Amino acid sequence: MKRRVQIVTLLLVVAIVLPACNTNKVVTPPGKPRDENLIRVALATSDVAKSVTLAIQVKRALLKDKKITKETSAKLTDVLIKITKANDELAKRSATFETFSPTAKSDLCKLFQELEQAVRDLIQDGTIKANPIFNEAKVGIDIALTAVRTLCQ
Amino acid sequence: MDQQDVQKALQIAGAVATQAGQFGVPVAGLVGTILTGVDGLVASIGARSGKTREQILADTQVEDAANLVELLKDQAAGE
Repeated sequence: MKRRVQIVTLLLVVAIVLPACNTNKVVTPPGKPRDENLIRVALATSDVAKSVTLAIQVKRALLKDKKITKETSAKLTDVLIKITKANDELAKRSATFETFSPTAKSDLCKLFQELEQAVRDLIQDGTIKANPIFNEAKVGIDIALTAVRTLCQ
Repeated sequence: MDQQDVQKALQIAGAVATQAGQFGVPVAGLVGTILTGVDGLVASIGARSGKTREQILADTQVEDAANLVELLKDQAAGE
C-alpha cells in the first residue's frame, strides 16, 4: 500500500510539472503595456490549473481501479483543493495589475508562497522527498515553480 | 503547439510508466489514463498560443472553478 501511495503521489506531482510555455506566444493588445513578469505568472497559474485537472482524472481512475483507497483519495483531494484555492487567488490578484510594480510583486509573491507551500505539502505527504527515485519529479517541480520564484527573490 | 511541450509530456509519461513498473504495479491501465490526460493537457497548453494575458488569466479562473467543483464532489463523497 505504501508503494501505491508513493506512485499516486508521484503521478499527482508529475501532473503539476509541465513547464510554462514561452512568454512570446502570448499576445498583447495594441496600446497596452507588455510585462513579461506578469505573463510568466499568468502562464504558471494556467499550468497549475490544467495540471490539477489532470490530477483529478488520474486520482479518480486509480480509485475506480482500486489502486488507492478512499482514505488516500480523500487525503489527496484535500491537498488539491488547497492548491486550487491558492492558484485561484493568485490568478485573480494578478489580473488586477498591469505592471510588475513593487506593490504587485509584494502581493503576488505572498500568494505564490501559499501556492508553493500547498504543492510542497503534496510532495512531502507522499515521501517523495526521502526517496531518490523521485528526483525527476522533484526537478520538474522546481522547473515549474522557478519561473515565478525567481521573480520573488 | 510547442514541440518541447509534446516531448516533455512523452518523457513524463514514459518516466511514470517505468517507475510504476519498478514498483510491481500493473501499469497498462495507468499508462492509458496518463497518456489520455497528458494528451489533453498538452493540447490545452498549445491552445493558449495567441491569447492575451488577460484571456489566459480568465481561462485559468474558469478552470480553477471547475476543478474546485469536481474536488468538492469528491470530498463530499469521502473520496
